[in-house]
Amino acid sequence: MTKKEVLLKIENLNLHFKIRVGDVRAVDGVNFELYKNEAVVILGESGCGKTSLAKAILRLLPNNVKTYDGKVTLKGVETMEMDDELYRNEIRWNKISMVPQSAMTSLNPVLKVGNQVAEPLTIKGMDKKEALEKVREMFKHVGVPEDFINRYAFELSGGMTQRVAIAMALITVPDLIILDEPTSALDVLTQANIMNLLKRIKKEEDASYMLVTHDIATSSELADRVIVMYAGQIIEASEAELFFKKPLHPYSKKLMASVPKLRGTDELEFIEGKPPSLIGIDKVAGCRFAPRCAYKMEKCEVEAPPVYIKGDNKVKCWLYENKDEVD
Amino acid sequence: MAKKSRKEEIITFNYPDDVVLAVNDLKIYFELKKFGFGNAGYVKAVDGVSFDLHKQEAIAIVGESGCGKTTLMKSILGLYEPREGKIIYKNEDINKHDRVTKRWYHSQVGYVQQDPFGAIAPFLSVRRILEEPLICNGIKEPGELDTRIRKVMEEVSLTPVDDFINKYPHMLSGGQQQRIVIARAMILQQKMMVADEPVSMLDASVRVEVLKLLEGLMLNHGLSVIYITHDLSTVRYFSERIFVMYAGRLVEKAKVNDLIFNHKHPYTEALLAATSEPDAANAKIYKEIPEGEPPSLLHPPPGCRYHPRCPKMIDGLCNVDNPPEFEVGPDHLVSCWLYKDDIKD
Repeated sequence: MTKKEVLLKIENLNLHFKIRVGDVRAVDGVNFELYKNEAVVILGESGCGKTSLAKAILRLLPNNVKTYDGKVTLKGVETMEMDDELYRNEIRWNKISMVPQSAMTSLNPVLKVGNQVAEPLTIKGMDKKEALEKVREMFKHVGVPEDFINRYAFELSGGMTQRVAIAMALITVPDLIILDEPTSALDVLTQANIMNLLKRIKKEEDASYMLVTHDIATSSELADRVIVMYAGQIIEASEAELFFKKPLHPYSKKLMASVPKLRGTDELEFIEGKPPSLIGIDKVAGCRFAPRCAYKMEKCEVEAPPVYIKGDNKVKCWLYENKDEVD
Repeated sequence: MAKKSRKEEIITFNYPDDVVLAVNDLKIYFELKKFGFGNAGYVKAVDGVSFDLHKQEAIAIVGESGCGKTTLMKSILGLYEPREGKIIYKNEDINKHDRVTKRWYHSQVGYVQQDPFGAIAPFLSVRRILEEPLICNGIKEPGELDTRIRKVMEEVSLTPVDDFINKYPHMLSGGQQQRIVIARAMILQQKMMVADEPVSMLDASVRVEVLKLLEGLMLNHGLSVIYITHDLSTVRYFSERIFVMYAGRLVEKAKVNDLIFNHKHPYTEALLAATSEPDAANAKIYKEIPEGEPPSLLHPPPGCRYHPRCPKMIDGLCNVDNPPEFEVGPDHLVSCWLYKDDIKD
């Protein structure tokens, strides 16, 4: 495989929140790289910190943050050192944009959608007429009828609202688009249409995606690489080819076995127990998945596993200390 | 059966004993008002739906949002008055204006809502939530209330019961909340359960757990289940027959395997094509999905309602006449002109 251009590099990113009963370690020492024109899927159950990771990258933080540190490098530029003003002007929505979880509620109900999509442009001083012209082009591109720019959000269907949200993320031609569960509230047909659209944009415009989701089946529509998060940490990062056939980490294996398949005959499995609370998770000495793991060894409860590199894939599990494969 | 004191029936129904629920050409229209009193047309949410539900059977109704599946479900629960057609439960018309029948019917049918957190009162403890249906149905003796609540909680495996019984909904995870909703839907030893996307709000691993729980309850209690969803992939593990709904009508009715491997209606084909399976190859291909959206139910297209999106549309037939149901195999009905005898080839 040829060496690809690194677009986003994240090193040891931490995001901890402070609440009354302790610290919530939502993102706890995360490292990964995202290449140009690549779609990385961040998979995980709810409460594993995947949305917090997306927000940490975009620096959309609530006001009870306790620790926010690490190194985020976008195209060789260190963004963590920028102050908020500079970050807002330079990075957010210019270099990285986001399609929020439910487009229905994230659009402003009292503004026409055309004006909303044009906002990232007009705020930078572009003439309004010119901006609306660009919005028309963008609407045509994502499959929204052009005259919709004069409509309000409630006049659109779920699929159309999602397309408008995608148009809003694309309008500034960003380097990276973060998609936070872009299809979770949509029907299967609409979902497939949106996925087709995202695939087309990726192919035609070399877009890079970071897709945050818990829906494994839909994520396979877009994924080049899959990153699995558990309790605030990355436990596996694998190429999609391998991941959907034979995931490495015991948690990923279980997760794959829990996906209902339309044509398969496999018995479904579920994971006993529930994810650990992120409050005081740093006091857990061993692997965070150990209490639910079928392969648990003595070592697992004593010491946290390091990250083992197996070819193009990384896995954080003691099973891979001496072996390349586990059945 | 309902209380004996009721007046003599005018119409009697003679469905066989194993038919729990029969829906007969059901039409639910909502009137739109103009200036508060004028008529501005009708939203034809359900337009001629018929099916039978047998004892201990699980059926699934699949369709996009806005196709009328929730309206159908609510009318089965007796919340909407049909404009035409009948819903008959154990040979009783549930929309007869008779309080005793309605009350009896409501105690026979359980309802599992889509969003568990929205469905249970946040200010009531688990015990109070589960007590409510019993009290409403005249069980007031504290000892009996307690035994029945504990029994049902053990059935939905919320164990140890003492850990959960005094908790409030916000202290429970999504899966546990959904178990409470299921427990509430079966605490009166209902014979029929209506589940509206019971797992769509849950995480992948919990989803399977809840589906398996429902399956177990169905077998142990002889429940008949109507499962409403837009996700075809979970249907297979759960139900025996699938009905595909589009714009207020059932377009295909078939057994699960017939529907998945031998489907006939172009809409079913599109639905199946759109359902993803975890496979890395998906990322390299575009799916062939009809563009467009379901039609407005206020002015549905004439003829077959799928014809504006259908790739196999026959001009002069599909856009003129509504297709009747054609039998294409045992227990397999499809409403599509393509299966009329002289067109088939």
